[in-house]
Amino acid sequence: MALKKILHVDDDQDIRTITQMSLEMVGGFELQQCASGKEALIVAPQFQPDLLLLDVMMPEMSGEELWHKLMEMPEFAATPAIFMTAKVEKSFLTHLLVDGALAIVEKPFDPMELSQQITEAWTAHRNAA
Amino acid sequence: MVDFSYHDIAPRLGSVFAPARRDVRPNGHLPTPVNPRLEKRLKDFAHGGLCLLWKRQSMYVFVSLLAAIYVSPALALVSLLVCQTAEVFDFFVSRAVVNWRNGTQQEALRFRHLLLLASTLNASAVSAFAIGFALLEGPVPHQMPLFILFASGLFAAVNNHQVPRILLARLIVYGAGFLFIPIFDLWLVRPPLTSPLWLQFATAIFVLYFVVECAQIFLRLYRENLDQLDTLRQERDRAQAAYDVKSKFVSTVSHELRTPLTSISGSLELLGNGVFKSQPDKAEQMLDIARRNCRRLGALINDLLDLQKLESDKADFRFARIDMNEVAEQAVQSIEALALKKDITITCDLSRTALFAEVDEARMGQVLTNLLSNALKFSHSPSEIIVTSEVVDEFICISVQDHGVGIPDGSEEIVFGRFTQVDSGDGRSQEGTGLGLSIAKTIVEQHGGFISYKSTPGAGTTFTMGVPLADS
Repeated sequence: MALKKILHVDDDQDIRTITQMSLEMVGGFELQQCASGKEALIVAPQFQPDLLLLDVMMPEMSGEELWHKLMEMPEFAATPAIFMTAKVEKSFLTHLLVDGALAIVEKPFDPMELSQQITEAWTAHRNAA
Repeated sequence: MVDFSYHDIAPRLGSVFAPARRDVRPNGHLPTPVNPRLEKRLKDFAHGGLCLLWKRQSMYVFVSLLAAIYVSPALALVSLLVCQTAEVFDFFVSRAVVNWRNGTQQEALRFRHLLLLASTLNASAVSAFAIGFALLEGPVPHQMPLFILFASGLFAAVNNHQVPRILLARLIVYGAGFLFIPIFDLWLVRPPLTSPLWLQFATAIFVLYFVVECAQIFLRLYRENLDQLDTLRQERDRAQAAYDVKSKFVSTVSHELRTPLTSISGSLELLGNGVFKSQPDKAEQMLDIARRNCRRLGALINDLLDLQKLESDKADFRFARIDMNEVAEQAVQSIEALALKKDITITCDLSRTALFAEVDEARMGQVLTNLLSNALKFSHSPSEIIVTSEVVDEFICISVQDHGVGIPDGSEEIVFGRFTQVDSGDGRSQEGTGLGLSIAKTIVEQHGGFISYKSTPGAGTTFTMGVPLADS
């Protein structure tokens, strides 16, 4: 199955805009964006994403918390997640990967490469499955 | 020597050595963590005792030999056996204490009782031996028995002073023997005052005083040493806490710097690769993002440097006698154009008399501008911001009242915290560096003043800053 629908959650408006340009115009994905975890929990069941692209540090609900909440829903229990973060402590990143995150994209990221990075992680995941 | 761990020996030696475990609650008290000082005392005591084991053994053997040759082999043998029994008991208790980890206060107290018991037994055996030795010698000056007790007392003062009540117990037992021997002779013989037996009694009292004095000195030195260790430990904890705060701050700062940097580099990368060649409006949007985030990054760096300066260098303020009303008016003027753009009017309702304070004018201006721009940021358009000034309890209070979104109850830490903003719920939370109010609070507090707010969610917020009124 090819990757099509991505749900992107980030509290920063400008980063949302750039990610949108990057994934829609460069990557050609179908993208839905949310500014908070709260919003994402409402949007996700309607949008039915193939992949979650989550910011880590967000007020009220962190990306990690959101991910766990989504995983509790049976329909998203197996939906892979990629994290985008400006928080670069190695121990934290390792912890996310150990927990089953597909990949981690460090901010600042290259919008020309982002789509390819995501596709590669997706393909590796499909092949492994 | 066989290396016993506490858990090895506990079952073998029965319940005497089994300290109260966590699940056992003596007297119905919950287990509390051990007082570190008591733990250290007990461990030092037990460790010291174990280290001197062979020295003690050689002394026992030597003294027993002397007693066997010159006085009575039977007494020597019995005493040696009793002493060894006490030693074995002491050895196992001490091993258990040395191997004991992460215990409770209850366990510590239990161990202290056991060590006290072992020491008292041991001292009693030595004292009884000395008395027996003396009794067998008859009413003559008792050089050897008294010397044995003196040496034992001194040995305890030098080596067993870590736990004061154990030292006390030992000294009482030795002291009792030390006094009993000459007093018993005096009672038996009732000699004239010129007799050497009286001299012996006087000497015994003098020597006893000397031993007690020695014990006190060693105890005091040990206590001072413990105090110093405590001080060091506190310093280390403080330094560690400061380091943790700093490293958390650095980690947050790095995150905050990377966020605008991501937008700048991302938008420029997209532009540079010609993604928007045929869409000039999108390209314009990207340039806007880059510009906006450059400003944001610049503001953030300025605020960070400012905060660093405020924290490290208080003397940087240029204090002068300033009319706070004037400062407020200037701050309002500086922000009026921005307010007009948002269709917000700023009304000044300042006290008619000048309000003088000893302050740094530029810094006070910065505080008021911060409060005003904060009010502006969270105001609805159109609305009004009211600035008032008055004197309350020798403080000049300047208030900035907005009719904006308000602040939920109990958010003081978020409002004045660094890099934290109360979520306005409408996507405005991205504006500002999240440092403005923290900086304002730092400045005002370094002027001996205060900053506080009152808020009704949905109706608006009033921030009030106060600085001490200057003497007229």
